[in-house]
Amino acid sequence: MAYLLRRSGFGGRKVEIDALMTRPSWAAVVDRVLDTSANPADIIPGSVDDEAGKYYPAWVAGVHYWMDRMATSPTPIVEKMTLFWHGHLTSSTEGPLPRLVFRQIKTWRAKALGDVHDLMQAMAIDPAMLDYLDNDENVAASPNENFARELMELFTMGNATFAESDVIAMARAWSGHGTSDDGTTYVFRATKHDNANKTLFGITQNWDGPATITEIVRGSRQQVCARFLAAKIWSFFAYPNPSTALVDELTAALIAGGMNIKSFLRGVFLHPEFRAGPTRTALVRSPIEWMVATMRAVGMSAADLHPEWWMDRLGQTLYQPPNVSGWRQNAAWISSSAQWGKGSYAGWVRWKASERGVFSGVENLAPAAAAQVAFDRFGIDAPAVTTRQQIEAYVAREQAARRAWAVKPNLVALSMLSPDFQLA
Amino acid sequence: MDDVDPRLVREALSISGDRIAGNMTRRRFLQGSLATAGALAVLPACKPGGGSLDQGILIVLHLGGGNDGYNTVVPIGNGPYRDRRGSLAITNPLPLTSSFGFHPALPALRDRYAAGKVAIVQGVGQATINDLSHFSSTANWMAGTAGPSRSSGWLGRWLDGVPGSTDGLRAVAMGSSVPLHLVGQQAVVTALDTGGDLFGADRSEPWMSSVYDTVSGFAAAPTGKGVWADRIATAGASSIRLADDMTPVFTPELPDDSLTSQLTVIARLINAGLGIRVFDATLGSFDTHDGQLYEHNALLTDLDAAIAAFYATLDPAWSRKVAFMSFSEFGRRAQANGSGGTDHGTSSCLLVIGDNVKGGFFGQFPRLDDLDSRGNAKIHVDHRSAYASVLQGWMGGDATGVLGASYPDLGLFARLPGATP
Repeated sequence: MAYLLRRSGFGGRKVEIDALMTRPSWAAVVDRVLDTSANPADIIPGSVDDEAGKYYPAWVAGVHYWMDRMATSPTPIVEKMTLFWHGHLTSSTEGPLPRLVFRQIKTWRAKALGDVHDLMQAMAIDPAMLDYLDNDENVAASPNENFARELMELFTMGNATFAESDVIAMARAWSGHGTSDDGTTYVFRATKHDNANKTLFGITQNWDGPATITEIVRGSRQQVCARFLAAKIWSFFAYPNPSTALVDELTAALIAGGMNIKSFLRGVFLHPEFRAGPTRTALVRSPIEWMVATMRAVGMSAADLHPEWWMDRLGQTLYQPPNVSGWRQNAAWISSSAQWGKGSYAGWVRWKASERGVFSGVENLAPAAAAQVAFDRFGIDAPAVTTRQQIEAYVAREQAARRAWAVKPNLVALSMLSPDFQLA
Repeated sequence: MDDVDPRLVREALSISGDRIAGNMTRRRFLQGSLATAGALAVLPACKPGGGSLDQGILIVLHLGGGNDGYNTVVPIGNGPYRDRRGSLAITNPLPLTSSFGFHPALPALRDRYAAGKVAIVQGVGQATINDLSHFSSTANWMAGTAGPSRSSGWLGRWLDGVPGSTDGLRAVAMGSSVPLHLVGQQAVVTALDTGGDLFGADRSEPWMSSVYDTVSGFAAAPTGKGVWADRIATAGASSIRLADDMTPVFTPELPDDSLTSQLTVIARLINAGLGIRVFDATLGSFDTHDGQLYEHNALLTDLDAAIAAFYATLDPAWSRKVAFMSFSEFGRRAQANGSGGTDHGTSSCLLVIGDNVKGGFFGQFPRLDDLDSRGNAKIHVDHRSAYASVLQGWMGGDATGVLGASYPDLGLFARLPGATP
């Protein structure tokens, strides 16, 4: 259960895990996790609407809003899937205005668990995306192929699944789909649109942008599209590089479910391979996940803990994927620099949590009991033998050296920095 | 004109990823002082002539925002320059030749030029791309590819082919994240802040060591939770050891994250003989749409002082193995704008500095009376030629493979790294 809470969301404390354990079956737990009826209303705080030159406060407001949602939502699967789409259908606040990127994320949030077709259509005319991939400059007289290429290569179909001539045709199909002069709303300009026949995927007709997405998600390219997305979603929730046979299965399931994400995820979480031993330890928590899981454990907000001050060092800056292909997994999160960053962040969080009363009185417990309190709080349901030994030894050492005061804050830091808590 | 802060552009094009060293065998080289004798003991024997590409150390100087080539390497007695630049024209350059001089804020660099240690490449720019936006131009420069891909950088791809590059000690970026030009598929780059703050370094009180020992202890035995948990545990332990080892590099403390501080840390790291081949440092913002005279002067003053501070810290035994290469995502327009500045232009200069560099001028001056239809200066040297020249002449490895195509080698080096005249 702890494992499912970590993968489908951002972890949970023992009390949350125990509440789920009362369900009669794994399938019932999965249904509970996927039940999004309690998804909180999604508002954009006014402070997110930046004025020119005031980028930073707007970005911080956006970071706090989303990380607080991730940490406190009763339906974290929505936020987790939104985080997936943020790293897949990428835009970044270094190009488009922050307020446009925040609204983009709001769109992903609304459609994250729905029909892929619906999401992709909305994505193509999203103002932040139109700016980020230059489709707002794609006009019939002077086509810009950036969006057309990434739509196929990175968003829906994958590398080497289309021809260069398809890129040219796709760019022509999307010409004229741009934004208002101030970049804030989608505008279609018929005079800038290439209104002639184009040959895309071997089919010649007067292709317009939206029809190409229908062709990819529901038409002749559905197999390729489903395969591409199924593999990527499995990689995000289970483990990277699934076998061909498994991807075959997942592809069929995604198509059979009508390209609906929630239905697909149900299949993923119910798949025996998802519950297999090696799968449970196959993913490293991304920095954002790790920081949110920390917020959940200590019960403190982004305004308290300022994750935005450390994101760069940890390698994952929210709203700023490093490039259009998003973030990499696992190995990308492990490094000297990242570990120094995590140590530094843990060094900060421990005092903040302590002030707030986290682990109050723990220094009076016997080492074994103190360690277990920490594990329960941080949702570490099956700590490694070494982790438990080291933490118990730490408590014993500080108590013996008359530094018991150090135990309260440092149990927070040590829990954060345990390998167990850094696993997804 | 509103513009994107080039620092945000650089951060957006960075990852903080590196992966971690398993094997801290070089820590023993950091025992004792960084000053001289200890480091000398581990240098390969130097003989007259000699030298080899595998000793070449490159320090990349990222001048973010678009450095004005015309006011850095200033044309002397040039009517079109004075006409187009008006009050922005530099009238008192430090002469390098009869035709060009340095901006007056670069006296130490001028002396270095006089000693034959500065190669000035003129007319460098993005030959095949028209976009002058900070983000795409910076990405283009950093990617350094023949094709359109922007998910890795030219030095990252070079590092992928360097033995030991997955250990994290072949490349160091100053700052909190790793910029795109250092991003490869496997190579690991360590990002270092001038402030240090490396978890594991501060042991001023006993309770601190107790915490580090516990984190290191998570790796005392296999976790039993798979390969990733083990790698995380090992990374924690290794980074604590490395932090401890690197403490001398941050002693004495650096006062700030200025270029001088960055290059001082880099010099100390080179002196430590850790085998780092590539360093990256940044200065900016050069995006002088207004107030150019004052701002550009301040930036070039910093640049001059920082390079001087670097050589003052560097053990002379290393000076023939080090070369700097500057880069900026574009230059500035020939014509001054109405706000005491210049807007984004196409063609600029690129500096390569070092004791074994071939001093002089390369490329071709982008004439101010020979502009294109948009009023932009012509580009005479594809920026990827500069990379090819550095790879072939200083760093070794397969330049064509790294860049994706063959670009002319400009011949910027007089000798191999480590070679004596």
